[in-house]
Amino acid sequence: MLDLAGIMFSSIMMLMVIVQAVRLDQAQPWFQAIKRKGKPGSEKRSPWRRQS
Amino acid sequence: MLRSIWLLFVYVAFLGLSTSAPFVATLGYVWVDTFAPQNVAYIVLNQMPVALIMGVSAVGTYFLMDRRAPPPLSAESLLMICFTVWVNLTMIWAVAPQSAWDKWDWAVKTLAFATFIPLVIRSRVQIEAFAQTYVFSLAANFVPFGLKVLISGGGYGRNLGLGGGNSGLGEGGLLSTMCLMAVPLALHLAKHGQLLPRIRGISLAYWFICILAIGTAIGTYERSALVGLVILGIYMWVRSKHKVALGAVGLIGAILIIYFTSSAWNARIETIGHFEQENSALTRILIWRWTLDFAASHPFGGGFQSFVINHIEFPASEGRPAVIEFGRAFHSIYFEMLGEHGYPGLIMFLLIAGITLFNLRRIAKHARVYAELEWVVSLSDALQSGLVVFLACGAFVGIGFQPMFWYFVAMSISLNAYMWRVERLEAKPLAGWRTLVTQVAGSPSGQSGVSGWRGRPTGPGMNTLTPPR
Repeated sequence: MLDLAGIMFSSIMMLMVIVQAVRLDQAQPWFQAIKRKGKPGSEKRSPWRRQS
Repeated sequence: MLRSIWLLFVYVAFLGLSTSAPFVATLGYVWVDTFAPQNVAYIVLNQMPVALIMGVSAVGTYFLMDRRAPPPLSAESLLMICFTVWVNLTMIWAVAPQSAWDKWDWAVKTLAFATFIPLVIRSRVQIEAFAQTYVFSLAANFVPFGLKVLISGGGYGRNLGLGGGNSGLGEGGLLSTMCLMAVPLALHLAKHGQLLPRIRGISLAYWFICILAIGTAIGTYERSALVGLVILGIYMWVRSKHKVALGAVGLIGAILIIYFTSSAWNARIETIGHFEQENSALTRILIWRWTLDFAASHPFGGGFQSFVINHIEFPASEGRPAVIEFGRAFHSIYFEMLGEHGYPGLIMFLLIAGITLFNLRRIAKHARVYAELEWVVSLSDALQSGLVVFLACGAFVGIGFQPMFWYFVAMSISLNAYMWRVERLEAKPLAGWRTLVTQVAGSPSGQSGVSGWRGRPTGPGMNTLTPPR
């Protein structure tokens, strides 16, 4: 009984993962665009830069 | 019967989905290789070459439908190819050809498929799907094992898992190492997984998996499992940002293990300190000594399973006369490589492990500056932890050609190639003389000379060779 429970648990989770992976693989770009993490305070404009 | 029908459904689902998404066949091969449904099914699957069909499907669908954006050739990939060629060469001078072919049959398939995986597994979704498939394939074995350990306790040599006998996942040393390697991967998926709904129950399921994996490792009564558990705890603690919280969890876990484990487990573990009197530890020392002598006369190794020719002389001890035993296994990945594939094989194996760990650290360092790549840092740490566990436990168990190490290396190569892609996307378009050079080379985009199927878009509205706007 425990063996069957383990098999069912793992295979149901795995099938959910794979169906979602197939869906996302076709819907999302493969390689994501990235932005550098801002250091604390880096989001403030420099005082010498013209403010718009 | 119900089990067999369900497993057949899962197998057919893998094959069916692979017609629209070829990488699914590769995941199917990982499932077949790790879980081995043919060993637990009573009808159909137990009479079919399930791994062969899935392997042919994975390679076939890739070459026919999915050769987009291949990864760059990495040092690890090159070394894996060299290593595969080398282990084939050692078959020429194998000292026990019949046994050597038996192991060659599965070991070379593992190496070849692990070298193939980075070609197929390229995007974040695919990398995560690979990690999830590996963890859940393994969970089918250790979830029932772990539950039985929690209910009634484990025992040395007691096989509470799905497979019978003392081979494959029925062997405690291999099972405990695989379980411990899955723990950091499951913790990573609990935090950064995007393929399962982000609800509390899913995170709890991963924690449940981790507890059962650790329970299974302890329940095997393997001493190497305790070594692996300590190494895993230390390495995860060193790499963690939440040292106090993780330290507290580790302390509570250690107290629970000490409190709940039986006197039989404690007695078994205590033998680590008395290796001179303990037969199993003494066997290892004598075999390793034999292997060093063997490598001195056979520096290029003796081919797969060369240990079958050994004869180990056990000295007389209190109440026991001296005895000679034949064909004792290497009991260590390092001595396995040395005895089977000589110094070149050992050096290549160590280089693959070392370069993979080095690259994972480098990836984590590079990815740390990007908010979107937090998952890369986490996965890199998880893979490092798993590899360190393998290298520590493997010092006492001969599991050098078992798939988990090579799958972890393959995942590292995929992650490395992913970072390479992303950094190229971020790179500014080339200017000046570099543009001229690339135009002469035939690339109008000015980014690289890649053309044909390699340059096909890798997602709707996305060309990998063009930086995002």
